[in-house]
Amino acid sequence: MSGIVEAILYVLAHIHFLVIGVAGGIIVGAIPGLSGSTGIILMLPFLIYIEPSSALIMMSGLFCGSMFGGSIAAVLISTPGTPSAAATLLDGYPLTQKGQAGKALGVALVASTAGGIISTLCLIFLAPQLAKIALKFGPSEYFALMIFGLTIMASVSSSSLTKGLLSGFFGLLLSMVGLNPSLGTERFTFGITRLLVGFSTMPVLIGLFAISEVLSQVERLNEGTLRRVSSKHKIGEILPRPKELKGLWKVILGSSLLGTIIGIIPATGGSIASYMAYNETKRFSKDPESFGKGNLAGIAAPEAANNATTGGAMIPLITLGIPGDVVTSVMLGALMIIGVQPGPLLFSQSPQIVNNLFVGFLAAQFLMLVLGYFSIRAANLIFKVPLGILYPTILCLCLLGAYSLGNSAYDVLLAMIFGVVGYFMKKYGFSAPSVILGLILGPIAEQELGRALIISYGDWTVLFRSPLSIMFYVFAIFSVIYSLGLFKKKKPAGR
Amino acid sequence: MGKIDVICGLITGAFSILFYIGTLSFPEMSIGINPRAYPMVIIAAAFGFSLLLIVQGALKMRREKRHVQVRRGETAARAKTLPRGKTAWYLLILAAAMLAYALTMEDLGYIIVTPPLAAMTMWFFGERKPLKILLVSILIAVVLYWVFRSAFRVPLPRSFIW
Repeated sequence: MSGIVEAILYVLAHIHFLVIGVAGGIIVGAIPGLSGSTGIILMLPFLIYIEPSSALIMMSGLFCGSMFGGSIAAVLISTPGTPSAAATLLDGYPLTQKGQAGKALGVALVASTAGGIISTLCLIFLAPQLAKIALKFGPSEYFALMIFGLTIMASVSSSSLTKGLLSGFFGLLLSMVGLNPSLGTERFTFGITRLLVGFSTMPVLIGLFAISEVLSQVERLNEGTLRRVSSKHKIGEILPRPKELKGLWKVILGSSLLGTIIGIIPATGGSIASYMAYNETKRFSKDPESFGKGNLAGIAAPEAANNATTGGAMIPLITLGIPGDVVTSVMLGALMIIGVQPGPLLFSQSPQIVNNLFVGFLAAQFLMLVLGYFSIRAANLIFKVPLGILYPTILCLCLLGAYSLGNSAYDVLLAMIFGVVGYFMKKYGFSAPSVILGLILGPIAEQELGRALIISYGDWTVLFRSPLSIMFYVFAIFSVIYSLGLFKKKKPAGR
Repeated sequence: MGKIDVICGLITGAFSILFYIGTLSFPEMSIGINPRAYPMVIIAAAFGFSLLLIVQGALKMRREKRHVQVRRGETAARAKTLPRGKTAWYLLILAAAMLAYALTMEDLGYIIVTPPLAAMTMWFFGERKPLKILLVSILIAVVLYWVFRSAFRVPLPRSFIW
């Protein structure tokens, strides 16, 4: 109990980090092309200089804020700011056309807050229990868990399963460069001394996600496919009336629970949750014909669900060290950079960080309600940031961020190289999150495999003896089958 | 797009072969995991997926030649090819500018190398007013320098003027 009181006091004393996180999240979420993961990358240069707890609550605030921010662009300009807000525009934009943009955004804000609170409560109550189970894991269980984590790279791939998996294996190859974890001998350095320390996550993250984005935007602007957006619609009245909210509470509650469950399952995420919640709400509605024409339930359902995935996705991240979606996979990299190793040991070794996260995550939801209200009022200003100032600042900040971790221009060079690689990867349908997953989870998998085999004197069957290990392999197989199913569904749509 | 897949498959395949060559110098170990075992699994899988991508790309090329598969019009097809014309030059210049930035920042100092890069990026993003470009690019460099140097105590490379 004293831990929670300490955490409340800590969050109150560091509320400015949370405010920056939530406000930054709403802004990056609202700008089409930028997302929560880009926001975390842009914050990285600052995160490494603040306390891990503050960095963690700042990232959590950004994660939650970006989910709501995505709905601003979806409702006002019919362009989802983030993929998770794609379902919101179905009923959000028709309301804007009717002159009720404020009401649509107000419902999105209330539903997002409710979804976030429900999923945070699940995070607070479920995570410690799951961490207790995870503490019983040995090297073979951890290895199986990492294999399960690596199968996520199949589902975070965007266009082709082969390219997604190839990207993941590219990340795994990169992760092997440097020193052999068991022997301490050098490997795959090809005579380059700099490569002895391997590839740091920070420049790779910055290059693949942020610098590549700047290069892509230069191309899109010059090819004429990047259009400046602004909404000419009036915002109007913002907060929904109590009577309207009364009619939506069942939708919000159901969608929040659905979103939380989907968030917990690794390899899913906000976009799946929001579409599922939208479909289910429409299916059980007494008036399904009104969906797509400005039904408030059609906004509340996806927004509650996508914000609920935030707390859900944090559960496997902090208890097992495996990310639930693209944003949490970037967050995993960021956590490791700031010196926080997610996993069950975090609960026993740094309980205060966990408590601070819980309180910070909950506080972020209420802060989102306040900042969200003002951001709706100022929504049109967000779209007026000139590209000619936004992107040069992003580029300079990224290069500086790459430099500042090791005070080395070599890291700037790495970020630049991975920026170019990331640009081509994005252009030709390869998956940057898969590379990051491979780069982060690969060394842990190798280390645990080595430990398991040393303990068992080289007996490989040790990997399949524990029921927990078998459970993770089964999950891994299901994850791959699920991804195959997703790609089969995507194909006809693409055609 | 099929041709691009074949080229990407060849590049990643070559990368896997390079890593395989790297395993040949690994020492042998009698206990625990053979140091070659884990890398070989990863290399084999990467090589396998590279081959698969080459095959998929070749099949796609055949389909494209026969005009069996019509993709979302010419614009989408053009978007997947290598950048050309002015765009290609902009991207090349920006990449070269970043390379020059990384190579010279420790010698010339952060405050000298940042404004030209920021100004160039502003130009590529459509800014055409020289005074605005000059002021904003210097402002970006100075603000970031101040934040990192003063607030975070990052020893940014100093130049002869600052």
